[in-house]
Amino acid sequence: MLEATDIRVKFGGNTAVDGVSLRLGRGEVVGLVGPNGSGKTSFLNAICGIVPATGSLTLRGVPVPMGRPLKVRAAGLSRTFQTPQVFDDLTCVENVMLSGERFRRTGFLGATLGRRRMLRDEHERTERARRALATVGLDGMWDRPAKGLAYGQARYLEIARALAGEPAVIALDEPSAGLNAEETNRLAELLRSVSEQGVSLLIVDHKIEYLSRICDRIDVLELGRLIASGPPERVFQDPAVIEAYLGT
Amino acid sequence: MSNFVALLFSGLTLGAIYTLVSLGIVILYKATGIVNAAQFGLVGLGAYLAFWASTDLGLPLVAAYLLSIAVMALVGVGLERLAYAPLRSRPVDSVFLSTLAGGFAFVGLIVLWYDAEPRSLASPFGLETVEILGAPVPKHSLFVIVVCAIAVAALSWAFNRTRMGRQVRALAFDRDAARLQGIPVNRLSIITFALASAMAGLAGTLLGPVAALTPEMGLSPMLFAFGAAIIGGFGRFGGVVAGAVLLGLVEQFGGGYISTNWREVFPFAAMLLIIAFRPEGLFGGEARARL
Amino acid sequence: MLASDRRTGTAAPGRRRAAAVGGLPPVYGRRHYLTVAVVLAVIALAGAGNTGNMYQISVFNTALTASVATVGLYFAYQLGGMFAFSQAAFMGIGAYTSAILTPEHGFVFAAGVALIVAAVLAYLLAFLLRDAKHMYFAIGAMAFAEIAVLVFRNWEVTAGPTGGGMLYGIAPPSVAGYEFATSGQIFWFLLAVLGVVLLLSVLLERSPLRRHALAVKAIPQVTESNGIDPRRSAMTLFTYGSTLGALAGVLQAHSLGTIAPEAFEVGVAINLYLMLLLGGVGSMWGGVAGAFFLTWLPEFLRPVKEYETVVYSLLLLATIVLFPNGIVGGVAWLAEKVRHRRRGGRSSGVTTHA
Repeated sequence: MLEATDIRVKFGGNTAVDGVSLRLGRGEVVGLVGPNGSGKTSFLNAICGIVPATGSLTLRGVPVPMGRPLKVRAAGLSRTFQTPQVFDDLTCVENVMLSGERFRRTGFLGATLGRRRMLRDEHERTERARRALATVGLDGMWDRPAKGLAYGQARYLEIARALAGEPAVIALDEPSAGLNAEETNRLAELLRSVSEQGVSLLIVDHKIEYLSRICDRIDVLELGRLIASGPPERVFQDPAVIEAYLGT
Repeated sequence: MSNFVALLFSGLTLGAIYTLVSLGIVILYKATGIVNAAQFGLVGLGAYLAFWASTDLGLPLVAAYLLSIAVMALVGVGLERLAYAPLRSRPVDSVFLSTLAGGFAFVGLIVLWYDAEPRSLASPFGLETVEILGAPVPKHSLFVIVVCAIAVAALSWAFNRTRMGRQVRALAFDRDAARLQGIPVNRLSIITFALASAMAGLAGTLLGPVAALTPEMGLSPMLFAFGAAIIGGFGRFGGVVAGAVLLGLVEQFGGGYISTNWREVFPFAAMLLIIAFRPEGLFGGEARARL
Repeated sequence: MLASDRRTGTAAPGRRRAAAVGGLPPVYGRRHYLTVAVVLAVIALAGAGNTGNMYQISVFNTALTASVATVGLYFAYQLGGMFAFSQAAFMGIGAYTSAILTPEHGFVFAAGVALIVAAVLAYLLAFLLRDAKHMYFAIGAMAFAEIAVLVFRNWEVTAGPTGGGMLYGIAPPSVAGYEFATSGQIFWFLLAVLGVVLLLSVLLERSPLRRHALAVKAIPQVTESNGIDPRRSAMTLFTYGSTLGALAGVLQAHSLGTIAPEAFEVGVAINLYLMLLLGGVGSMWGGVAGAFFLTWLPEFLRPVKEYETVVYSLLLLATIVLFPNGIVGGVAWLAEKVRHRRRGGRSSGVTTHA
């Protein structure tokens, strides 16, 4: 589904990501871990196109240019952010409806001349959005402004938004940040069920416990390089990995 | 040739005035984070104060100028006390719009005080000229250029070489950290507001003899001042001065060689293009205004 | 296009019901069209009572013209997120283009060309400044506005017979042979135009464009990651808003009969901002409310006319600092309180707002 090759990210004099390659198969869940400063978030930002980077990226077998977030999204990669980015002025369902692959007839002409078709598309989008909200358990809030959401709910809203776009891959940046143990478990369950529907997941995070449970593979970064890759049990016993974590 | 020289000096004169306004804006921004779009009202107020001092109070012109600057400094202090606190926490856009409105309030005050009829403010050098390379250059122009050069040099020295300057720069970087370090944050804020206001007033008094005195006289110069600040990357003084001079020269040369009525189009067009294509400025100063 | 929407609205009542059940987001359920009807009716009644009084009617006409401009500003600024300090300049572009073309080509053609010219220029300006943020855009827009005023003043085409950009004797609007000659007739014409503008604007509110615009304005980077091009959204809205500004200029030129460059300076754009902010920046109704309020204010201020500019600026300041939601916001807040009290203090459950 996703193939990133030789990604390099430089900020000024620092090399944040030094030639990392990664693959995701259909429905595969990969955890990307590493100590602070290892380049995980930079790698994520690079493949999503929001920081300048070199390397190559292929989604669903189709090459995607680097540094173009719109094209990345069109190719089927959605993401969530470290702090949930919800739009307070919009209702929950409208937040979710922001994602989608087809944005035809959403502009001026669609609102005026192409109105009948636009309204039909809107119905479809609303349905899809409400289904996504139901998957994450937020359907009751569908017409409430997103402003009043609790932190955990905002997280789920972001995930619903990523889901509603029917992506091939969802990249999640520290989805468990700010969640307690029980909430993290629920999150893990949700992510597992999402992957069972065929969506590939790339999860950047720190909490080894839930990652071990739901990930098919763990990739470990240290100082911008991939130092280990494999099933969770093996990787977390790897002496090099343990040293990387202890070394910080 | 003489035409060229005459235009060169009038361009430098305007550039000098724009520099003063622009530095006022930039210094205030660096020290307090406030983008003050009311500057144009202060320019007008400074000019009218000098006019009042010389006509109604009968003071000699230089004394009138100095009085105006002193009063404007006090106005700056007043602004700091009244306007700074409510504006400080707001986003830049809100501040820009609010100060713009405040500027029009000053314009309104001037209209109340006098009226909208154009007047003229004389220069201490009257209409005397000096011949340079065959062109008659008004002594006032030279006066403006010299005053501005002195001001820029003084400010530059104060900013880079004195303790207060270092404190102001620390303030610009992180106000709370500066306070913790024992820097007299409030006093410095007052000083910068007073300084920026005084500079606007000075610009107004110098502008008076060059252009007519109208309540809105400061609007175009302030727009050019913002243009200069943008060209200079809202950072180093050198860039700002260069930007201001550039706009002044473009205005005068465009006006002289192409058409006088259209002269302001040239610097405005230049500004549009720069904002569109190189908003970080032409001189690679510090990163553009923290927006 | 309006007809088709009316048809889908009334011929498919199931759709409306679906909105309540879950077919469309709440913004589609709100009674926009009703509000338009009410607003138009109120203005019509107020104006009809005054048709005898030529002075009063001309004040109405000014307010109506200003409303078109402020609704445009709402779209450019509140939804588009751009500091449209160029709005007055676009009014001028509309006014001058229409005034110059009318004698030879008639009002309708001239007005149409004026709108097209304005739309093209607005799009170009938005494109030129597409990467400029906030304050930088504001300065760019003001630079554009200043250039426009200079053009009005100095270009032979617009400078007029006496030079300096003053044009006289502009014909009143006439459509299909019918001329709206008197102030009273102009009132009804302007009201009709405002009605069309409001309906068109409602169509935009009831569409994805609205949520895209709000999202882009809030966090453009995230919208981009979701596949929405932030710049396109902003540019469309700025173009629409500025074109409305041009329309306002056309209306002004033909209802007053004369135009001068001073009417289109940056200060006027600030005035329009004041109207929008005062009326309530969160909706197009705020634009209308603010325009009417601020057009009547000078009537009350007549005894102290010199204080006008000061009062305006202080009002703008006070509005920004103290009443960010303006008149409309205040009314909405009151309405909410009343509704709350009527239900005995129980929360009303679903709070839909925009």
